[in-house]
Amino acid sequence: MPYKFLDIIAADIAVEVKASSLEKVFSDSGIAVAATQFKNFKSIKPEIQKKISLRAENIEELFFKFLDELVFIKDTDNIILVKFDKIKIYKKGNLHALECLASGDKLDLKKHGNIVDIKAITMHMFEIKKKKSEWYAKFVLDV
Amino acid sequence: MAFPKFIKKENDYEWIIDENYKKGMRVPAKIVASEKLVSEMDTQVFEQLTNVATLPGILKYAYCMPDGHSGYGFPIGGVGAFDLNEGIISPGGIGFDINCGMRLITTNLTIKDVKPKLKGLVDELFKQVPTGVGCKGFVKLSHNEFKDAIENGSKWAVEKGYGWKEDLEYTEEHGCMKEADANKVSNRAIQRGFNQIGTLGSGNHYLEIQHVKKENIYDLKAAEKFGLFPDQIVVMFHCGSRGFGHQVASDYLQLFLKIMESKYKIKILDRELSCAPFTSKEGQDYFSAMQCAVNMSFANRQVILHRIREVFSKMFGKSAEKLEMHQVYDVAHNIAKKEKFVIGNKYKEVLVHRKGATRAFGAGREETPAKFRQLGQPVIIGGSMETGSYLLLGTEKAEKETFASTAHGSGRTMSRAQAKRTWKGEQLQKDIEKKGIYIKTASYAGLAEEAGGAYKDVDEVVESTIKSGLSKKVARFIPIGNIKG
Repeated sequence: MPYKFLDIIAADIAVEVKASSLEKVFSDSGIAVAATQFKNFKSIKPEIQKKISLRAENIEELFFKFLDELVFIKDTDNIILVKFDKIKIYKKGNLHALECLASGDKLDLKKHGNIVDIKAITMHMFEIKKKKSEWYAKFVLDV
Repeated sequence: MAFPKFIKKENDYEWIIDENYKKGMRVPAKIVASEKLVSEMDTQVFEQLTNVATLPGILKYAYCMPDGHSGYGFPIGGVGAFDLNEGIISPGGIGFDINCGMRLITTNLTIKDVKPKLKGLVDELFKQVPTGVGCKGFVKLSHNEFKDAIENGSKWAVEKGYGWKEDLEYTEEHGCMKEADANKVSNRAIQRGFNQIGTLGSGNHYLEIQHVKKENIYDLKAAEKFGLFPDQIVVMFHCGSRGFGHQVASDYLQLFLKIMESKYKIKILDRELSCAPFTSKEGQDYFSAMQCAVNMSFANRQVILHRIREVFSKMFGKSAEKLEMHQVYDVAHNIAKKEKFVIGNKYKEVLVHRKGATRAFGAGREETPAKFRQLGQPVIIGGSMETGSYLLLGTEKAEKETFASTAHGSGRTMSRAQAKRTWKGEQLQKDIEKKGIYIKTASYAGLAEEAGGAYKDVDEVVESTIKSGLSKKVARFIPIGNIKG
């Protein structure tokens, strides 16, 4: 598994992700968001596409906005995103930018096996950084 | 865990961490709980509580209630009162689920009336009160109508026909905080919340059918005043402001992180304590936006109550009025409010943050409905789905000692991951049914996470609030039916 659930928080869910690139950390973290909420998340087909375009002052804020966007899309469009193609992270002037074509499917509680609902991305233990040759992220989801 | 040496005993139910524990503490921290409960608290609770004690303008103590466990910024069970001029407002002192709270409803039905129809009743409630991820309410609103709802709360709901006028009298703040301003809320928050009114959500949110056993009525006079009697069936539910409140909290937490130090020179020990001076534009904007989320939650619980009355009416062939489905009270446990307290011989208005803590005014406060003003304010304590819940009363001692705050529930002792390893949802449902509690859930995994064994002993929590003088016991309720998100 590209992500790991950490048993360090009593009431909520802590996630750790290690990946070979910054783009992969974003992508694997997105998958972890779906896996937190749905037992059968692997059965969620990439049927519907959503374009995600974000700007932020730094990578950490960009990562927060990315995760927050997935929760927002779940609540507003009822779409669970499970595939994150063509993630591009780059500098645009003073800002950091992300472009991504994400795909997933409409939520089906019976089919997807609902576990919990993510309320918010917290700043508790929130980090994303390069550790030697790999990228590392940790975040806690309020459920 | 060995009892931490830095925690000093004041008496059997009050424990102090003094200001020298951590650099920057402006006041000591006080934990109100039995020795057993303090010793079971995770160490993060003490770190988070002492971080709260460093915030500008904090008055007297940073408090932790008996059901305390670690949270983000403030611990759950955390209370902090702040000077209105010198102090701050912090989303981390309220929680993401703004105005998560409890509502209690009476019926004139007895256990004999309900037992034969219990499964049908629970199944119908499960159908009519949407639960789980992505659930949408039956109330269809435009964004503009939703703005009206979040500025007017329960009043909006009752005017639309979802409830009785008397419900407003028995809701904290009459179901509407008046300084709510929808212009201070992002479109993102409105998009997340406009179709969620009338939904329970998931996690630890639930709707329960409960039995009032004769031996569990502790204060006959008060119970009678609240319309409680032996063998009665009551309904209790727990939910909040859904995605809307979560987004309001997230938006302002992020905004405060950007301006807090650069603009206001406030240094914090934990980013989840992100805050702004209460009198600043940003602080006031958040206070207005937070009140919109408070009102959304009141409206949400009001619409759910309407649905519950419809279901009972259908199942028992009588109107909700004939079934005497009166609201006992609705009270928040994630909120910040301006309230007046006696400090140094005179009344002073302060901003009280309660995160997983319930307001607990003693007798005589004008904020409490006239019908039971002389008893004190009702406090609703939700237990885990397997144990039981309580109706308590606030006290004058709570006003003096904890800015009128008491516990809110059981409080977790086990992580969700460990709970899922310990119990399997389907088996747990069967085991609970053998104990006489019928459960319908949107998620078996979610059910396992909420197993009674994952929580503190609610009786021990309540006993701590009684022995410390923060509350008085009225009655205990035993669950017989439960719907979970």
